[in-house]
Amino acid sequence: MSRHQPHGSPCLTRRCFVQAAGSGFLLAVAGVTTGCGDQEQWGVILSDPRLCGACSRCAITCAALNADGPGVAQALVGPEQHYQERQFDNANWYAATCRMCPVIVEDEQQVSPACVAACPVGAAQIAPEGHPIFGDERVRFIDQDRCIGCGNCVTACPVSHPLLDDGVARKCELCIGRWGAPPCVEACPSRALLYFPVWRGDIPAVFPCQLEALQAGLV
Amino acid sequence: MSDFGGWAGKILWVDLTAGKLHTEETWQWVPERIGAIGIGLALVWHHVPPGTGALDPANLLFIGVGPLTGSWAPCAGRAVAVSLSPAGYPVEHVGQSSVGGQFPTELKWAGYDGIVFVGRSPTPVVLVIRDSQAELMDATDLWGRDTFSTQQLLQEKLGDRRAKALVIGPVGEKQARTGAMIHGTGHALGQCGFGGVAGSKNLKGIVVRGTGKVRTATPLASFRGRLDDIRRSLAVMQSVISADKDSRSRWRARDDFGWHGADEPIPIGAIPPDDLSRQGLRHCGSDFYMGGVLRPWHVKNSGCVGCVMNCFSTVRGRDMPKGIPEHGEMNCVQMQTGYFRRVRDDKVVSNASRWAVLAAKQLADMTGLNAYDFRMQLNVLVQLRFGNEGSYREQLDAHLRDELDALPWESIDEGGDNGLGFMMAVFETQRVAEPDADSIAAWLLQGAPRAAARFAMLDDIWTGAHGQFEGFEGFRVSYGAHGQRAHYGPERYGLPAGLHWSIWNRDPNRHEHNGLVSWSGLSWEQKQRVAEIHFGDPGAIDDPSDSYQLGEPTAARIELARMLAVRSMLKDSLTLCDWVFPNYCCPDPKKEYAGNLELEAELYSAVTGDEISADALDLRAEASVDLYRAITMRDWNTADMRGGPGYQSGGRGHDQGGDYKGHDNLAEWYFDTSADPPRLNRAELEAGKTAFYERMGWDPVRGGVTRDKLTALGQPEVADGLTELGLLDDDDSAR
Repeated sequence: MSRHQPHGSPCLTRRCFVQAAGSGFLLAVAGVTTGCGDQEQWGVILSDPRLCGACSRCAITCAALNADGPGVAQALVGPEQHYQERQFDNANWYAATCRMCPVIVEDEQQVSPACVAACPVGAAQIAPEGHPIFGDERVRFIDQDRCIGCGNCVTACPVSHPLLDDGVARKCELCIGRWGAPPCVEACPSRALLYFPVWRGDIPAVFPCQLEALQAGLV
Repeated sequence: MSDFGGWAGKILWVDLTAGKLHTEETWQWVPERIGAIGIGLALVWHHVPPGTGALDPANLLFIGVGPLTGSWAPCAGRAVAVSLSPAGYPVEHVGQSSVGGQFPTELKWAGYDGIVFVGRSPTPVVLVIRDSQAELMDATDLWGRDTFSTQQLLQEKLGDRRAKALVIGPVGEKQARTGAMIHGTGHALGQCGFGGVAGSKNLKGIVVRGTGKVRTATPLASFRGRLDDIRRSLAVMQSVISADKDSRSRWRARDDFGWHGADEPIPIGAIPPDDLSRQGLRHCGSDFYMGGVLRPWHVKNSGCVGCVMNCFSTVRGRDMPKGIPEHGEMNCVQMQTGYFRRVRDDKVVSNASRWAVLAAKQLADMTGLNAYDFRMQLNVLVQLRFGNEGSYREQLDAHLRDELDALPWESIDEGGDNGLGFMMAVFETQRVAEPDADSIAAWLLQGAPRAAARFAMLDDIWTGAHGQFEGFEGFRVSYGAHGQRAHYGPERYGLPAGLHWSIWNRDPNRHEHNGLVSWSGLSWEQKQRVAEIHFGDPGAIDDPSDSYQLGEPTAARIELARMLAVRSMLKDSLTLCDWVFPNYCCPDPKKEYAGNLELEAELYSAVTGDEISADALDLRAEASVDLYRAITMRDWNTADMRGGPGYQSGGRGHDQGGDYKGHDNLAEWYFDTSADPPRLNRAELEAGKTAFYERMGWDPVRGGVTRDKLTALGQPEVADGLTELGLLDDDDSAR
């Protein structure tokens, strides 16, 4: 197995990914927290299951703004996305987000982000820096004009994030192009979601749960 | 079809006798009846024959949502049930109960404004809804199961863990008047015994998966800024503004505040009311209500769908007895379910442990026994065992005395296990009770008033003789009216509370009144100024520390009482949460902390596109108050609703052969003239009733709704119906 950093993509190792996912703080992206030095990062929404009260305001807001009407089945964020892992209580609910998976290449084959790797027509993409809509956020997005609605991205996604809607797949694009900043984050009354715009070098000082950030050695 | 936003447009009818389903359009009822309780009351009026018993197949159970439910409106995640209430005492009159969580919005997103259950299924069934597909499913294998495992099994049967269920447990199956319908691990359609109604219909529950959406006349994109303003005005539940640690607010986030039940304690700290991103972290009911009993187990807060406050406490117990889940959601009443403190010779000899508190809450929800009713059950039991110097116990039939003595009383005494064993035993005896047996457990299932009547205690409970309900200290539980235990009653909340406890068919539960008077975090002078802004007189509210004062029926007090009735009906129609609406107070000192009482109408207009003023919307809700009154007159078979001295609402209920008049009454102990300090002045309450009746356009003498009033608000057919029953003397309406 070999790993290397494709041109223009952040470096992440599987070790970093596992460390972050196992931290108890269900990061939407691997590699943000620790172990990877100060290399380039990208925009992401983080969720903290310990603060999420399952009120679904994020989901209602997402669907109301991006799917023409509140109804959490159309939402790209929210407790609904988490049911497959849910125990029968609210303690384990959290507002699942797209994890904006890191670029991982194994045996010269890109395996992550899984949606990008699984897409047979190149509709699932990573936005390049300076993208006219997504700016420098390196958003993993789906080109609706190319999407054929095969559902491979849904199947491949580790959290089954994309939705098939009217024959095409939709996924979280951080709302950068539409609303300027993620409105789901603004809607959360419990600071269980936090948006990290793209940054380079220093880790942001503010985290949704300061304690967790402290544990992760981030502040 | 309609161009209105908000409503789904369909009501699902389920004929359980025939096993047939059909849908009807919602538009025959709305926008005039708004939704939820407004529709439910109309259905009960039109479809339930006079004289029907609550547990008869002819009774109708409606569970509905409103135009705001599932929309982007804040705190609109509730459903309301309407039916004849088996918990009503002494008459099984119409009642209402609401439930939050995730079920109500799921029902709306499935495309329904409500479900109507009529008849009785020959075998146990569950209603299964997948969007537009609805069917009855055999539930024989679920009968007898607790509510938690039933919901899990339903999700597994549907192969969809996103499905949301509202189900009854063994208590509801026994057609108990204390039966609740439970959703999730803590949301209850609790009051009024509707779990027993569902049980009487062989309806184990409803499971629904909704993948649709709510169309709103105003897209959120153009309302976001205003929505943030509204959230700032709401600030936090019950308009609390203070982060002061000394505040009486139950939303007192403070520097030393945190959640201690998480794997690592989570510091929360003080939160200013203008920080919208953290309002859901503020409340900690397990800290506030329980004096810290459950604090070590508080994991986090949670809320109903659409909430911006998150008032529920998610608790994770440790080392719970086998069969009792460690995780549970709860709020005030549930936390108090098993709480007690036993004092002997001024010394606390036994105090509810957190294990007992959580066990009682979980067992109430799992068996489907209304936690609120359980408090009164518990006190009847304790009084039966210890009260009146043992004479209640001594006069019991031998088999009842043996059953009483067999309970593990040592559990709640010195050297016991601080109540854990006792709570488990009391629930278990009811779980396995034969409902028709002459046993203590079976009578408790019938609710405290009927049990007390059987045990020859009811008259004493009604009058306050022999110090009833003082067996447990820490929580004093008293009889209020209509079969319900006192809760935010007139002893502290004055004339408006006295009127509502008299006229409403259940615990009126005016949280918004308590929010204004008690919990807002404002100084008393600031609260009075808010009352003056809204009602023209700072004396509209009364200082709750000045107990047992009703006072004169001033215009402001009566206006507040009318507002409480109308807005209660409105929030149960839209549906909104009464811990938040109406917005009496806000955190803005520039507004002298006065909130915005037009928010309901603003949200309604924006979501539905039915532009309407707050006053006009209030009148639609007031029509529902009148209809509620008319149905109650029909249920009591009387035009004389006033009650008062000489009327006795104790004794045997009409389901037991009684015959009663005088609905608008309070338990007699409220007026005990020998008490020191003096209790309520009966004449003041009667004067208040007269003024309130006049303000509502009701008969000022007998308190019944009049033809003039019904006609004025567009309900002449209701007046005709009452006339046919001999309950509306049309000559009287002119006086």
